[in-house]
Amino acid sequence: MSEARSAVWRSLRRDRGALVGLVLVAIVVLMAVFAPLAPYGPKERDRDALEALAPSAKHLLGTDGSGYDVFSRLLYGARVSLLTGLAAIGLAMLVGIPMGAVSGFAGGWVDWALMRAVDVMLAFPSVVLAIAIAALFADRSVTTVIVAVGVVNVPLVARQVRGSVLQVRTQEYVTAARSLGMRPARILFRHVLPNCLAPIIVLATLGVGFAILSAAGLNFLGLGPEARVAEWGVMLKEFDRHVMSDETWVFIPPGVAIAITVLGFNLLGDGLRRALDPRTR
Amino acid sequence: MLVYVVRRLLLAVPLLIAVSFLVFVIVSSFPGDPCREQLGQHPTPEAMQACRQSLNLDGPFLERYVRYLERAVHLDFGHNIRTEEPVRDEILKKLPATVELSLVALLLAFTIGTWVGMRSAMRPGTWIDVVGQILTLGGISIPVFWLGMMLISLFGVKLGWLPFSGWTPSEVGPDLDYRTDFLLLEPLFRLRFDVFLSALRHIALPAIALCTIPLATITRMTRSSFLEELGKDYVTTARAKGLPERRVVGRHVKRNALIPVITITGLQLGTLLSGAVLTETVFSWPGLGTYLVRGADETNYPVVMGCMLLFVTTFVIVNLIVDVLYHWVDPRIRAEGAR
Repeated sequence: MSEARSAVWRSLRRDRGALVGLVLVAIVVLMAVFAPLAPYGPKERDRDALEALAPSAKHLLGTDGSGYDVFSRLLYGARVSLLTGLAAIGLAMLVGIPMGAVSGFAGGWVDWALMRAVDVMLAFPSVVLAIAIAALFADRSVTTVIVAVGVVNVPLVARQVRGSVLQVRTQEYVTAARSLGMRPARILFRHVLPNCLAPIIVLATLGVGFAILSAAGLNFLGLGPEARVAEWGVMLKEFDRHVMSDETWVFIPPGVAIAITVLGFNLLGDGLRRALDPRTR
Repeated sequence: MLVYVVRRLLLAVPLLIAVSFLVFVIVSSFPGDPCREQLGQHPTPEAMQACRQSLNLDGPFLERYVRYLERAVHLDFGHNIRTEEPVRDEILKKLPATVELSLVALLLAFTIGTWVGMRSAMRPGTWIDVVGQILTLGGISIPVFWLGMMLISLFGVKLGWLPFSGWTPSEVGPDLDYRTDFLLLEPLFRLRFDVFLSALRHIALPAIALCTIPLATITRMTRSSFLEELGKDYVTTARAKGLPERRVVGRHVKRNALIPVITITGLQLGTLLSGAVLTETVFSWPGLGTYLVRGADETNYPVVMGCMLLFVTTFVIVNLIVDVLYHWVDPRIRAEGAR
């Protein structure tokens, strides 16, 4: 196991794209970790700032029209974005992995029924389904967005896991385990699922990027937390107030932050795919 | 072939029924009581009853579902809770703006994506390949709504080259008496090229922003499809008999390599509609995206229901058409299907 792990690590280290991705993700994680060192709190308003203030020594990236410090909110926003992305994908995995595993392993009508459910969910454009799910919440918050984005990702996870399980279950060691009289559940958890781990890890990494992007979109549309919450998509809602007066410092940084984060997870996920799946090399 | 088409059509029906059920479940679970909101805190029982009946909130769940299906098949989605207009009329009014925006974006993405993808497959590692990779990574990483903001800020406000709002007849073509809501296509068909040009200028920025989403997939797909095709034996044969590379690609490779690209382009519709919702909001585009978002924000459920049903049905039907076309274009798949 550790030998395999070091092989993966070696191939990741030689992969320029994966390294760039790792650095970008690390930057965002550091932003989130050191957010309390920011000069202002996430909901702290500069009462002297009656309008958006240009970047200065006092406010590194200026303030928005409500007197919030853009730089500080950018750092705190990293926390919300990472939390949202990880939690949403965690939720999708929690539901999607068992769904896909049972579907692929059991076969028959169980498989048929579960995959038709997947088809139904995939028939919706993802943002449209997420919007409808978000509208189910009377009080919208960060949780709303996590649930909406998580649910939208469930069918994708289920389908991927099912595919991997179908591949692995024809392997000889599975046949061997079965002929030894091992219980199906035990075969699934001890032998099949661990061998499906690689594609799941890749999917999760790419998924976090996609989830952060979708979550920012929902927040921007106003289906997430209220405007005082420091989140990148929420910060971009103020665009209309600032574009005509060319106060670009309010709306450029949050977008760059989202793009860097999503790019980081995408590059890292692609790199992991190359490292974990020798066939694509 | 006909058997295949009929079979696919028959398969689409249960899918649509299941989808409509999910839409109904979601929409019926919306928080709040629309009748109470509409009639105030102390309505008369008669008014309440009438309201519940007109909004299909009366009776057991399954009965309501059947009634809703019946109405939906007749394109009756009920009345907008706020404006009290029929949702169908409002949708028909807003549909053209979304259709035109999506079509222009898809056209842009296909033209640029296949060109860049083809070039980068023919010359891997050169500058065009780098451009392709930037398009691919940028398209999946940059939030489309933020890209729209950047375009507005740069080309709309700072440089003042292009308009970034006002997709209305009076802004696009004040001297043309529009008869439809197709602000781009109508002047084209009526040969009013001045108005058509004005419409193109109005649609340019949102379309450029929106096209980046399908562009990423189309570029990547074209590149890998061409690379795969270029490695095949018949290409070596064609080269060996002395055909110039231009003809090898133009005559032989292109035909085969573009088939999966066309399929992918069709399947991009889902992500395109998702992107359209965000793009429309940034540009205040009077289409279905902004309509759906406002509807969801107000938990205006006839609106959400109508939009979702329309989006999903379109998506399912387009997938079906793409599948059928794919079969029709590629004889190899047709042969497999016949077996």
